[in-house]
Amino acid sequence: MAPLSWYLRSVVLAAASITVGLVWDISWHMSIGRDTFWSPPHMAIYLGAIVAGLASGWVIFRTTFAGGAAERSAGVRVWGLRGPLGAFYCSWGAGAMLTSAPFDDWWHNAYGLDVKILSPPHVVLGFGIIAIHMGAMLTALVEQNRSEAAPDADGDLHRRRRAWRRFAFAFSSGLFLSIVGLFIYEDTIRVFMHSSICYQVACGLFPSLLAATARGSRLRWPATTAAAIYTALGLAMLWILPLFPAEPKLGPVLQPITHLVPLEFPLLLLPPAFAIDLLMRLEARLSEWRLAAALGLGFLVVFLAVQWPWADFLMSPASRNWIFATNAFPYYRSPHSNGARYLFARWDGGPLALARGLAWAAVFSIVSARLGLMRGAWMRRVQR
Amino acid sequence: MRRARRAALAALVALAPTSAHAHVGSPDVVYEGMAGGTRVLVLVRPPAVVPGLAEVTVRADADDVARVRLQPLYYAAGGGAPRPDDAARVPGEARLWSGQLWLMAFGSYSVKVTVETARGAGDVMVPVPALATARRGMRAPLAALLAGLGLVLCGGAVAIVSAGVRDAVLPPGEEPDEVLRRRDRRAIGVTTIVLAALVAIGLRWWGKVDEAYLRNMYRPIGLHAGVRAAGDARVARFTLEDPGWLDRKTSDLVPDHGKLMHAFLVGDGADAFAHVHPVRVDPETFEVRLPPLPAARYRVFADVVHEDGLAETLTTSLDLAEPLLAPSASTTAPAVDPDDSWARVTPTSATTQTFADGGAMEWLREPASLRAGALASLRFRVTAPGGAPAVLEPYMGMASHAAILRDDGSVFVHVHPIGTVPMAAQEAFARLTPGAAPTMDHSMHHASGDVVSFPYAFPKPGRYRIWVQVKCDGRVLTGAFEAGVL
Repeated sequence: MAPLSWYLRSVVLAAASITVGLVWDISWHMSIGRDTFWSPPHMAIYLGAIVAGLASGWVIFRTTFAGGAAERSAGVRVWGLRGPLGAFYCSWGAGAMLTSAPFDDWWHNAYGLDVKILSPPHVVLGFGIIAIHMGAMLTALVEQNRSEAAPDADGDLHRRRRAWRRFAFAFSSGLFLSIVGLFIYEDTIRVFMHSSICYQVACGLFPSLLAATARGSRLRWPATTAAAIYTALGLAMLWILPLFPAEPKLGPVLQPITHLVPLEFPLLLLPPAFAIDLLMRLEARLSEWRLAAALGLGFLVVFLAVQWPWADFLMSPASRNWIFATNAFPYYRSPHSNGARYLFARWDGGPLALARGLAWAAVFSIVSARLGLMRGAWMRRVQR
Repeated sequence: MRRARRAALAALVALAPTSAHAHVGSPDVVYEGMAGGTRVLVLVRPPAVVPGLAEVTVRADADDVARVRLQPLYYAAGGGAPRPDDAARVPGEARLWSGQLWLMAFGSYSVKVTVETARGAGDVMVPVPALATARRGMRAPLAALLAGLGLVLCGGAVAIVSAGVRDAVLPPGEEPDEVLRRRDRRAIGVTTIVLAALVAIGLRWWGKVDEAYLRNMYRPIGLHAGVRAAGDARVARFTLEDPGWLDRKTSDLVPDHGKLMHAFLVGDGADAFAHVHPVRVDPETFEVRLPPLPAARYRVFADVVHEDGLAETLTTSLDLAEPLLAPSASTTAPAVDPDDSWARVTPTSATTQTFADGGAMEWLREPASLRAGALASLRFRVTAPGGAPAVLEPYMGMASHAAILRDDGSVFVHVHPIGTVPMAAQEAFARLTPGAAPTMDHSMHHASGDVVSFPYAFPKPGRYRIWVQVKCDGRVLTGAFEAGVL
């Protein structure tokens, strides 16, 4: 018997296809500019939506109408239908992604081609993508939790299956981290790494995901594993995309482009994720809010300590090579911009404003961690 | 091609432009010129929304054309343009090519059309303004569909969150107890509030994008007109008023054919027509000594060109029957510009307009009717008194000028044998390209002896009037014709 059910494999692959497709699509827009509905990255994204939607729809349909009493009672109830919770998340996500398509089409005709990543139709698409990733995580989670609860029947086989399922959950979490990273990409690029905005958005979102993963997973180093997946995916795309030739098909062309422009070097989430895993060892001894404070502050302090000096390296000539790709710019990046001149933006007015901004980041971090812990506690108990 | 043209026209009509733009009501750009050794006629239909797609049609008058390439040049980028695209042959038409280009930013663009033949290659630059001129609302069926789907998604989200709180944490087979049911109700409440907040925020965000778009929508420079007396002359004073649009200024106007402003005055009832050239007296004011036009209300169309090639047509009305402006301290009047011309001529619905001195202008009409959206060549033959072919002289550097006005004033263009593009706009882009060929002398370019021709595509059906001006024997002759467009 396969370590992971066909359904889990399908939705995890669907989530991976969407994540890779999104990174590819952003790179495409930075290098070529022009695309149609049927471009390869779009196909990767919609393939993920269709696979997740069809697989989930099938599972729900089968459970509701053809499943036995045992199967039905092992599912949740939504509008008279029955099925695993993850399947409902994935179906909803696929529905939202498909709904965003005509909305996005009208938006482009009314207001022109998007110049930013986030627009209302893209946010609807984003919610759909998030739901599919959460569905994948929940499906992996349920299989993981059932695995943990089952008596140790098959020995080695059971242990291997359990390991796969634990990993499947961390893998889905890593994909989820990547997706969130894309939504806040424009505020976390190099030029903002010495500004409070970068840390405010990062602390508003990442601690929640990492805390939830840390609490929900049965791995020894769950947050670190998820962050490792995020980093590995980011590096793979960073090194593989520039291998493909590309040239801008839209003007004005302000930078010379000969190959696909990759997204920037992934954020250094590994050290703060590791800190979260370490701090979670205190779980039993601290109240929820104190734990959230520890996780939130721990994330911010460690992230700041590594990302800030790393940003200096990314701005230096030593990083302008294929490994770190800091010499690759989108075709529309003006040579007079901060980024193209390897200068940091002055987002905050001065050191006092920066300190105030970082104080807010700390608040966001703690609240984010608290919400993540709540979600993690729920995830630990999910069985359907 | 005809289908595509009609579809594009239908789209233009459906968009219901809410403001005028360069060449009032006639956004299409037409240009006729020589690309190397091949005569080409280019029609560019700019998008109404920016960034948007421009449709380009090229008619190349040669049978050995191997390739036609199109490239958009943005003035402010100073040259960074993507590689040219290949235009495709229009099926069923031997000499028509078509393609689409993305215009990504507001402002002055130029489409570079390169024609490659067995004899060599050549190109022409066609200035195209990239302006947002229309705001598309969402049609009812799509709005209903999206609202319906949105409701289903919101309802589904609440139901799924509820299932997650209530059922998902229970082992298979168990039913939720009161504690879970209470948590379930709370979760439903919180989720509903959160969703309502998200929808409200989303709608406000949409509203902000819409407002920003409306702010960016093209607004021409406003024009006010008045008349003052200066001795026995009447001086028209035109004042510019910039309503504010992006970084467009009124201080960067460049001369087109030696004139900062070409103003056309058309009398209501259309018997009187004047083509004058106001001079700038201060940054916002232009003045011109008016020819002896009859007292009537006049529609005024003033063409100006900015430094970056963007051309605008400013409109206002001038009432010569009204009392004059309070006499100003200055009683000086600008000198009469020898290039100013005017005429009292009733547009004829026949094909020939006779002049008082016996000469005539004949419209060499095609047997087929004029159709909206279709490229047409308007050709006129001028005869001297006595019947001999007229000898035409350049009038402001061109073989001829034409003004086309729709009855209701919603369409006005000032056309030359090279088309609707202002020479000053082409010169602006030529300045960007180092070593570009100097602008050609178009003086007798499109006149073969006594015949002048203008390429034009009427934007919409209706009744139009066409005034054609040529210079003969040192005098400007103005013929006027009525035209029905289907």
